[in-house]
Amino acid sequence: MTNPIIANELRTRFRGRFAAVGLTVWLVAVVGIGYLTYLLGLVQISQGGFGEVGNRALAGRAVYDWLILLVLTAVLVVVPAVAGLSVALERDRATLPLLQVSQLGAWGLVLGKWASSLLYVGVLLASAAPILAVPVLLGGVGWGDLAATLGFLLLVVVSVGAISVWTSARAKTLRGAIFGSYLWVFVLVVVTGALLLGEVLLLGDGRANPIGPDGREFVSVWANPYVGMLSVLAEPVEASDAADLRWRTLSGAAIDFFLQRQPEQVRQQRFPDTESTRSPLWWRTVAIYLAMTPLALVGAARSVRAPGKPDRFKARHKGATS
Amino acid sequence: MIRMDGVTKRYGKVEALSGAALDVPEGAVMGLIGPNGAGKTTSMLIASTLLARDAGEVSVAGYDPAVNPTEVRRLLGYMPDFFGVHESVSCAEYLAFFAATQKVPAHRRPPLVDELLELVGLSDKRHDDVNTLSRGMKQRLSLARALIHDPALLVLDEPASGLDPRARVELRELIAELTRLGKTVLISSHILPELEGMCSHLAVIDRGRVLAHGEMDRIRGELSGMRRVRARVVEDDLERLERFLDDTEGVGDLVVERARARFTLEGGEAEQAALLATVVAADIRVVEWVAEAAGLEEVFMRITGGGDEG
Repeated sequence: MTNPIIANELRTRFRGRFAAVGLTVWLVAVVGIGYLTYLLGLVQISQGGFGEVGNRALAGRAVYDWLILLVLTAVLVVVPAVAGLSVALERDRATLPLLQVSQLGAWGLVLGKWASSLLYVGVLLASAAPILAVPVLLGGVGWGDLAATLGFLLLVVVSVGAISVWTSARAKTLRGAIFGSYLWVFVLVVVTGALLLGEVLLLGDGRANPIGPDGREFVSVWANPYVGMLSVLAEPVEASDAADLRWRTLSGAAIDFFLQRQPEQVRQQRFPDTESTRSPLWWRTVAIYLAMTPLALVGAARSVRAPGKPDRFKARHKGATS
Repeated sequence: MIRMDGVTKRYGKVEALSGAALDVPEGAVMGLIGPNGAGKTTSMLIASTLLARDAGEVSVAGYDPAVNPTEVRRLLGYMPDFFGVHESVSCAEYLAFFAATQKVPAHRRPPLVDELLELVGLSDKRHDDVNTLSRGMKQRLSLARALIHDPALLVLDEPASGLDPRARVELRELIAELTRLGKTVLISSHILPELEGMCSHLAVIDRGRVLAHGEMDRIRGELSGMRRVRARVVEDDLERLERFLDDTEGVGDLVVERARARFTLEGGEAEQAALLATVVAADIRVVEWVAEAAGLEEVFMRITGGGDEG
């Protein structure tokens, strides 16, 4: 049986006065960004020096990198706003108790709110999908690349959505819910970046912690969605025809930095007869996000469960009446 | 249907309920009366599975709301004191949504929504946005929502609050209809006349304690030792009546104005008749003599000691 909250939320979200305006603004923004990155790609083609096919592929990758990072930014802006309001809005308009006394239960309520937020963002992402496919046609980006990046994007939506629903379930006010949701995004993006600075300083002395054949990885940024996405872009599971090109783009250069890895030729010279055994960085990011999601949902379900925490209640109740 | 015994609930240092005891029999319409902050909403939230108690026993149709909330929710329709609505939803969609949350089968929902809209007199508003309804209509829609899964028990928190007189009469008729359908109703109010003529049972709550509860007639009967009397005499005799009543034992709260005296009299009909005979014998010319049994307000004032400490 379908969760009734999902149908109700989607219907009201797309029926609201600003739904059409919001969707139009989103699509105009995505098209505008796509066109700008395409112009950047044309510049890249004219200056590439890899022949026409190579230059087009490089342009495709450059456009793709920027588009994906911009869509990721949009996701990190939109998801906390949508999911962060989910439960808090019910509390604010006094409809939460009506759902709590229904037969949905705490899990039905939380999963309904979470899924409806994800579906709303999913509709926005799906509307941008044709534009994301343009770089694939330019070359340099395989369908495997597209699947991997969209998969990671989906995981970020799912995970940040779960954290936002949890924050929303705990918040007493709408402002608190929105602030809390964005605070988590701030922690994931900015605080991990600040920790990276500390880590760079700490590990700055190569003699104390020498760089091995696989490079040296910064741990503080594992949970950073941008670093994870850069890793997905630069280290896909399935190598495309333009595998060598990816190291010449933004994502390749960034991942080289985060892994402190020498280009393969240098590595072979320094560590002859060795093969890199390091798994892609995004594996760690995915593991963290996969762990955060159920934890956040359990927290949200506990927060909306009525009447309070039954186990603790039972223990106290027993003591009080015996 | 609802049984509470020694229920205590604290919000920080404030004790909202301190050993409250209540018994709502099946099929009864119990009015829960008390001033703001007396503990009415807290009691209702505990019975409705929305709030955990700190101590005491609660059972709703044999289930503990804190331990078996799912079973209680199947049997209970809850109407809070504030009507919250979702944006851009029609009355029919509103009810259909809550029917789905109560796991009413999909094929049953459209006829059920029609039936309930008919019951609460909102059939002509089925396509109207819920936000455009008047307060009285919203209260009726909220009642329809509470009935969506045909619960045996209704918990209605201040349903008449803010309604105009006409809407109150309509609500009273609705509740009478529900009792005919065999529902048990727990209904709260701090405006006592709202519950007059609506309830078969009464519970008076003040400062977290249920001071009295039981059948309305029994409680009134226990308090029949007091009657409110209104007397009108010939204007020249008014001063003598005032002096006479002042000196009479059992007379209280005497107010004299414009040839009329209003006072309370301890005792029943016999004491009232005796007083009238004495007044007439004292040559005070009585034009009108009306006595009433205690109303809800008086019952409440007597039980709570007039709201004074102690």
